[in-house]
Parts: sequence; structure tokens; C-alpha cells
Amino acid sequence: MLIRIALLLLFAILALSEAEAQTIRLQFRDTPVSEALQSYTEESGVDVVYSPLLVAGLRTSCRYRGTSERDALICIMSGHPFRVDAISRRQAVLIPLVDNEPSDPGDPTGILSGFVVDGASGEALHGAHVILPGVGSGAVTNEAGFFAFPGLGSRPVSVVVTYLGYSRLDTTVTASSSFRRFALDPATFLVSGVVVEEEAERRADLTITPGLISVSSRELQQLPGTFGNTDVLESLKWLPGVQRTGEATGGLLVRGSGPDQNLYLIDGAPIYHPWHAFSLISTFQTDTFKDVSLYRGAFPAEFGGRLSAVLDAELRDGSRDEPSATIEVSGLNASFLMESPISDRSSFMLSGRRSYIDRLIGRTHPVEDASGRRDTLRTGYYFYDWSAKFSFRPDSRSSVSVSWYAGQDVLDLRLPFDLSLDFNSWLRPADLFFEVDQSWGNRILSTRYQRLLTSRLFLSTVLFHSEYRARENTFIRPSQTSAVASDYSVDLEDTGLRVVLDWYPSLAHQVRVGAETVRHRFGSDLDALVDYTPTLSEPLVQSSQTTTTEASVFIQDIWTPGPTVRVFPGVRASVFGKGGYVRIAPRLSVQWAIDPTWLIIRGAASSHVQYLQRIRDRNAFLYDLVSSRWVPVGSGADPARSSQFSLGAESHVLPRTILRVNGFVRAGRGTLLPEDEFQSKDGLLGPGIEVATLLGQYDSGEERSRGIELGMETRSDRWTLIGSFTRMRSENRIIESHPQPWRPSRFDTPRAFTVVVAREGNRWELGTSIDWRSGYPVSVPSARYQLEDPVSGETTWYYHRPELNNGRLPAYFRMDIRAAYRFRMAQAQWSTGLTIYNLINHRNVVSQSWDPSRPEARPDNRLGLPLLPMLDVVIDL
Amino acid sequence: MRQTPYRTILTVLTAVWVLTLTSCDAVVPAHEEDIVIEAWLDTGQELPAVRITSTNALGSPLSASPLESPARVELDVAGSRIAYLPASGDPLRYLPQPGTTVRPEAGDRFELRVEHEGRESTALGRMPSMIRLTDISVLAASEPTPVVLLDSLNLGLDSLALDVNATTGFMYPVQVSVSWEDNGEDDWIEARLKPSSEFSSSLIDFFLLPSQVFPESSAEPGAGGVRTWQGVYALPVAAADTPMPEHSLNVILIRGDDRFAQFATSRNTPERREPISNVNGGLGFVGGISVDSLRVNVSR
Repeated sequence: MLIRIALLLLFAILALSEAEAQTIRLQFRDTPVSEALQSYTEESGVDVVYSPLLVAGLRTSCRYRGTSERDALICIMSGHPFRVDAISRRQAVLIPLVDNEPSDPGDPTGILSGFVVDGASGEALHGAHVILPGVGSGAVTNEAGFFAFPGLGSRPVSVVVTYLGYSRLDTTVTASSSFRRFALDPATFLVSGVVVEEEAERRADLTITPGLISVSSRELQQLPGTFGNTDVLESLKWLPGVQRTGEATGGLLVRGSGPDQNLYLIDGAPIYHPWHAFSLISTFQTDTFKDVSLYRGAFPAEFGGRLSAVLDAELRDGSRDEPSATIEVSGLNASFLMESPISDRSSFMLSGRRSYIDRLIGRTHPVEDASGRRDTLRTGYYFYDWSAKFSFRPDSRSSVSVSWYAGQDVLDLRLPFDLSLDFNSWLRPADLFFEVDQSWGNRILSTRYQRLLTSRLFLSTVLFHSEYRARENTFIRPSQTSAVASDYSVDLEDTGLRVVLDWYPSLAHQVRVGAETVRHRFGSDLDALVDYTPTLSEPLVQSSQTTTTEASVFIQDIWTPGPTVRVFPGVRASVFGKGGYVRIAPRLSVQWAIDPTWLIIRGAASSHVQYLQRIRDRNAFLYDLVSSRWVPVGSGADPARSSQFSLGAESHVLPRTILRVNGFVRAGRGTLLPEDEFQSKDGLLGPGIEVATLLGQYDSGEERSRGIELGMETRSDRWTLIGSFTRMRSENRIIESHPQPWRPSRFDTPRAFTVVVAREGNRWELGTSIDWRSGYPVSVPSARYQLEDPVSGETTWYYHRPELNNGRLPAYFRMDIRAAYRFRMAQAQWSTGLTIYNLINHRNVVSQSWDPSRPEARPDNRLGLPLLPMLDVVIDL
Repeated sequence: MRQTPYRTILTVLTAVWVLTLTSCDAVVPAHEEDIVIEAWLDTGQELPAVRITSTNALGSPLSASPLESPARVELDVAGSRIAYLPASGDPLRYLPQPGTTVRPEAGDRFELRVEHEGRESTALGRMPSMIRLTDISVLAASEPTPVVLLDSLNLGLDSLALDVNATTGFMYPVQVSVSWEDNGEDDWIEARLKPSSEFSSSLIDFFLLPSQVFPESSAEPGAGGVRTWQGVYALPVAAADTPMPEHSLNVILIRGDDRFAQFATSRNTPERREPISNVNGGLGFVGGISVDSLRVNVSR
């Protein structure tokens, strides 16, 4: 039934999308560009301004059918180093994307170096692929968009530059010049009706780091988010081997890891709790980032400190071209983004986001009862983000940027205890009430300085400070003679410096060497008091402060022994002050293009170390509810360590389609597992917040996972289809006292299937997504038994669960759809969209409980979210 | 030939359908009958009966199941080996062989062995020193107070479950102070205040302290080598003007080791878990404890 509905909806989308008008028809096959442009002018009536010298010798193959003059022109120029700008309604101009005049004198050794930038905004593109097909070499740009190919001599070389979400650039340059600036046109995926007939795209890219998924902001915005929001972490879950812990909430799970085994970086600074709204949406707001790199498993040696994955996100530099602003209102929040050049050498970006539900329902509610008694109830919840970046280029060899991020959630409640979904029942003075005043958030300040020291040496330094702070104040009045009060706080501060040097000694080697030092400061305070009666109280006052330093050095080489093989050896050595741990973590990745179109093989082996672990008090309700409590090793726990091996293949054998298959095996040791899995928060006060006390609730454990991931990515002129299927097992066990049997880990997901289909028309944007996976493990009882109380003789029935996680929740299925309509109004580009979460209202089972005193043995299911429609509006000024 | 998106999409959706229908991860664990052993050896007291049952399959009626065939039961304590025999008239219990006079003393170690159909289950423990209540004082409120009726805090964002499921009522909070002789050892105490059963309500107890399991050394020391624990229980009443009903209160102190503490703190949430067992090869608990209790009448 579900599949039938999905198919019907899909066909409706198809039918709707095809109903658009078609006016311009172009078809060229290996035609000189000058001739094609002439035909274009005749067909469309638009004059094209360009230099005949620059297009001399260029040929084009493309087919266009549609109504947009601009898109038709882009079709002709696709793959050529030009950007299309409209001067007026009837006139367009072609602007060269390649700076053919080197800004510095040429290098006599024949080095080709330069920067790859966004042709529209001028922003550097990190992770762009620069390929020299004739030489059989290629490179990936660094954080500054820089690349270098030494030893090319003085002959002209053809260059291909690609970057996801941007048009491919083919050009020929003289290798004896340095400092090229390649600008990529970001329009390709948004152009409608274009079919670029070229086979060169059907080649695998050897420059990709194994395990890396690099996604541009432009591409992420095409993927569905949560409730109409574009959200980086939510979008990443559509990729193979990536999922979230909860239905719409929770951390990111990568290849069977735990959610605390991922490193999240914003402009080089770590962020420890990248979530808002109880993990409903992330702090990574898609359009504030220019690119996002997710390393699964075998991440390069420059990254460390986590076992599983690294998410490295770069904030936008700010447009160097012209000011722009975007305003967006979704079902959960409103946001803005503005960016502008300040001078020829500087630019800025500023964005903000805030939820507004507190504005709709009000934060304070003065109430009065019939007797004239007054009270003020509170229902405040909001979250906000601020992101800002200032970029400055003192000269053509260096750049400085300062990035700042601040985000926080604030929850402020004072409500009667007997609240329900009947809102009217709340609005009265309450004798028995609870107050919750909680806030949690991150602040980051990061300064990056990059300089091209010589044409072979590139220096990059990052100085950062990252803070995570959480406060939980609770006051409960359950009766007139008793009260519960708690003031709990968690602080974590990182201050660090990272220095990285990229060295390009030859065409065969690119070496990255660096060092990093981070000072961690952990703090936590608790001041709780339970008044059982006016004369009987139980206080709990504790404080925990720790400071330690983590230092690392690393070296990573990209070795290209031949045109079809690339090897990535690296090693990272680190020392952790608390406990004096020294660990060496080697990494090795290999890529082999058996045939660039048919098959490329990627393999990796890597070792990782994690010195910080996130734990939680498993007893107390009064504190540690929303905070992330990271603790350092050395207080009864050793560093966690993991090794991973992966082997994958990629094929471009189908047009516009990338097929991927990856297998992996992963093993870890030293991760913390709950000593008593069945213990959950059920009391007011627990044993406290001391690190040693918290660690006492956990045992050292082992984990292992293995799986196979199948991925398919198809992109055409209007369509995007991303599908993935993952077959995986993830297990763990406690090994502290004596090894226990392996058991499925908490989020073990043997099968997961996701598919996203999006269609981008001239005015309509339509999409649907399907998320299906195995249910999470649960501990299912196999029998019941009765025990007697030793004093009273009263009997109690219990369920017997012989094994942990021996059963599963029903499989999870959800289908979302989204439709958005674009139009111009009041000199702005508008887009209004409707997202329907859980279209078929399939209430997934998210947890189960069992009551052994009931005669029939069956679980009580807790159901997930129902169908939820969400509207959003985006205004591009 | 150019691949149309329609064909690709249909291929993917077909794959979804196949995977959805062909995948089944649900597991129903098979019931394997386990033996459940319970015995509470009390310091200085006669040896207790041993209660031996078997687990019930999930579909079985809720009644304790005796073993299908008799088990062989032996207890080693105080240097003696005592055989247990099935009790006549009660298929769930085994009694020490007639004539047994052994009484376990403080510090004695014990081991209970049960052999049934070729499988042996054992439990080990140590006898704590005897506990003796020395003083109880009761302080009740003079009038009822409004109270929230709530057994736990259970909010779920995933389910939009915002109902706390709480109501309000009235109660008399009764504060009780209990003192006992300190043995100076590293034992655990379970203290319980058990009013007449008609007044018990877990809905009120959540924010009070009707029982607690704690290290003996954490209790407040007093003059004369005693330690004192204070608890509060609720006496629910119908209305704000209802006088406090006269009732009986059973004050119970149990002394045991850390394994007993683990058992005692894990047995009170049967809807979530089973108690931590100390029986190797079976379920249940065989504990060495010392119990003292006193029933008092409480009136206005």
C-alpha cells in the first residue's frame, strides 16, 4: 500500500513537472561555439557580447528545449571557461572564467598553481578537483582553494576543474605561469532544459580522498531537511552509511559508530553539541556554509580526536561580487543571510536564525483565578544562531578570515503539574507546579591566516576558541510541604592552534604536515536540594573542574606513482596531558583506476584515538537532562581506539550516474558502555557529578561493525536522484571484568534504504524522500517469573530478558514530500514551499515497554510523529 | 541510449519494494525454562525455606510454576552441609532436613547449590551482623496538604507526548526517624516505611522518601553508637478537611552486602527491568541479611 501511494505521488510529480511551456529549441553536435551563438541569437533574439578571439577553436555539443534565454546560453557555453551575465533583457555577455594573465611572474620550473573560486561570489572553493588529463595528474584544492602542479615545463596543458554543484571547466593554460584563478559557474544544476552532450563527465575522479563525501552548500540545499529547514546533518543522512539516532532527532551515526564518535568542525573549531530543539535540527544551517566535507572512517591524518567520522564545514566567505540578502521563514524558525564585498580585498557574511514558537504562544502568561489570586505562567522556548565571517586579502598571496558562531537554546517553563494538551486547563494559578530554566549552546571564534610562501609551500594556521555551556535550573513544588530545587551547569572550553604546511615537491607528491595543540577545560557544578518536609532535606552540592592539554603532529602524503594509482599514507601522533597517554595513529588509503569510466577501486586502513568521551548520569532526573557532558580519559578510563578497513568501487558506466559500493570492517576498544543497560533515570538525586562517579556507571567495552553500502547518484538537467542501501551489523560488549557475549549495539541497523527524488523546474521544485530501515534493537523478554519480598512475602512478577538487544522494533518507514514554487515579486525572488513530514501518517514505533503484571504478554508501543505539514518562504533580495 | 529518469526512478522504487517485503528483522526469543531460586538467610535465625520455581512462558497464566521434577538442594553454612527436602503441601518450597539446628551467625559464608535435571545453580554470600532497631519517632502533619499524583517524569519529544499524566489530591506527609545500632562495618541498609496497604500509593511516593537503600556509613551517626535514617511517607486522604486516619506503620530495616543492595535497588521497577541476580545458572536471589522491624500505630 505504501509503495502504491509513493508511486502515485511520483507520477503526479512527473505529470506536473512536464506541464511547463517550451519555446527555445537548440541542438548542436560538435559545432563551433561562434556558430552556435549565432544560431542562439536568431532563435532567442538575444544578442551575445563576447570576444571572438576567446571562443576561437571552441566547440560545443548540447541540446536545449525550454523557455529561458539564459539557460539556453549556458547550455551552449557549458564546459567552457565563461560565465553568462545578462546586461539587459535582450543582451547577454560572456565573461572569461580563467584569468589568463598571471598576477605574478612565471615560475621557471614550470609550476602551475592557483586558486579555484566561485565564479559568482569569488569565494574560494575547498575540495575542488583540478585535473590535468594529458599529464595524468590531479589535485584537490585546500581550504584556500589552492592547488599546485610542479615540474610541468613550459608547454601548454589542458586543465579540467570540477566541483559538485558547479559547472565543469575545461581550458588550456601555459604551465610556465603561476597563480591561475579558475572560476566555476554555479549555475549548472539550476539550469533547466539543458542536455550537455559530453562523455567526459563519465570518468571517476582519482583526486577524491577515500571515505570523503564532499557536498557543496548548493547541493545540500537540494536535499530534503527537517520540517522545511535546510539542515546539513539532516541532509547527510541520505548518504550511504549515515543515519540519525532518532526519528527526527538525535545524533549522527556513521558506519555503526556511536553519536559521540564524530568530530564536528566549523572553520576548524570543534563544536561539541551541534543540535537545537532537543536534537530536532542541527546548528549547521545549510546556506551559511560554502561546503561541507564528511569523512567516513579513514579520515586524513590532519584530523584526530574521534573514532568514526569528521564533519568539516566552512562558513561562506561573503560575496566578493555584489551584496545579496536572503530571508527565510520556515515552520520552526526565521533566518536571514547577508553577504557583501566591503572593498576589493575584503568581504563579510552575516547570518542569523531564531525560532519563533515562543512569539506565537507567548513567553509569559499572567493568570488570575476567581478568588483574585494571581500567578505568571511561563512557556518560553527558543533557539538562535549567529554566524559571521570577515575575509580579508592583504595581497594576492595571503588571506585572513575571522569566523564567529554563537548559538543557544533557552527553555523557560513554569507550568502546573497536571498539564495536558488541553491548553485552557493550564491558565490558572497553580499551587503545585514545576519550573524549568535551561539553556545550552556553543560559541566559536576562529581566525585563519593563509599564505602562499612560495609556489610550492602553502601555510595555513587556525587559532580557535570553542565553548559549550549548559545550565539546568529546576524547581518543583509537588506538594505544599515539599520542594525540589536544582542548579546544574556544564562548561567545556577548547582553545587551540593548528599550523598546517602544504608542500608540493613534485608532481608525484603533495605533502601536508602540521601540528596542533588544544587546551581543554572541563567544569561542572551541581547544587541540588530536595525538601521532603519542612524539617527533612537532602542536599547534594558538588563541583568538578579539570584542565588538560592535547597535542598532535601529523604528516600526510598524496603520492601519485602513476596516472591510475594514488596513495595517501599518513600518520598522526598525539599526547594527552591527563594520564600522559601517547598514541600513534597511522592511516593509508589507495585508489586505483582500472578504467576511469568503468571501475575505480578505493581501499583504506586507518587507526584513530579518542581522548574525550560523552557520558551521562543514569540515575537522576534532576540534572544532566539536556546537557552533553564530555569527560577526559585518565580518570578511570583509557583512550578509546578504533581501526577501520574499507574497500570500495565506483563506476560511471551509466550516463550522469555514479554507482558506488563500499564494504567496511570496523573495530574499537575502550569505548564506554553502561554497566547496567537497564538502569535509566528514575530518581530525583543520583550519585553526583564527579567524573569518577559518572565513570563508575560505565564499563570499558569493545565494539565492532561491518557492512556494505550501495549508493547511486543520478543528476540530469532537472532531476536529482540519490539512493542508498546499507547492509550493516554493529555490535559491542563489556570487557572490563570479564568479556561478555557480543550483542547488537543500541542503534544496530542491519538494513537501511533511503531514496531522494527531486525535480527542479522553471518555477516548481518538487521532491519526495523515503526512509526505510530495520527497527532498532530492543531487549525482548522470553519468560516471566515471580519473586517474593523477603519481609512481607508480597510477590512481584518480572519479565526475564536473557539477552540484551535480542529483538527489534518494527521496521521504520517514512515518506516526506515537498513542493516549492518560485516567483518574482517586489524586485525579489520568492520561493514558497510546503513540506509534509510523514505523508502517509505511518506512526512508527519508537520504543516499547512491558508491564509484567498484565495477564497478556505484549508490549506497549510508543509511537513517533504523525503527519506534519510545514510551510516555508524564502526571499532572495 | 539515454537513460530516462523515469526508468531509473521506477527501478529504485522497485528495489525499495523488494527490500521492504523481503526484510524481516523481528525476533521472538524462544522460551527456555530457567530455574528461579529465592532464599533469605537471616543472621541468628533458623534456616529459611528455599523457594524454587521455574520461569513461565510468555503465554502462560500468571501463577508461579513449580519444577516438573524435584531438585536436589544443599546449603553449606557455618561449616555444615544441610540438605533441603521438598515441603509437603507446597510444591514451590524446600525445607531443611528435619532436626537441623544450624543458625547462621555474622560473618559466616554460605553457598546454596541446586541441582535439577543435570544442571547446577549456585549462589554465594556472607551473613551480616545482626541489626537492631533502637528508636522510632513519628511526626505527622497537622492538616492535609495538596499533592501531585505522579509516578514518574516521562516526556517524549519524538511522540509529542507532553502529557505528564499527573493529577492532584491530598495527603498527610508523615516523617519518621529510625535509629539502629551501628556495627561499624561496610554494609548496606534498606529502610522501609510501610503504612497499612490501603494507604500505599506510588503516585505520591515519587517526591517523598518512603524507602531507601544506602551505605550504612552514610547514615547520620548519633550518640551511643547508633545511626539514624529519616524518611517520609504519604497518607492519602480524600479532601482538604479529612482528619488523619489512624493506621499502622511497619518500620523495616534490612542489613545486607553490596550484592543485596544491587538487588534491592533493581527490583522496584518491574515494568522496566528484572532484579539483579546472584544465582549462577539461574534467576532470583539468595541473600544473607539481617532484618528488624516494628509495627506501630499512628494516630492524630
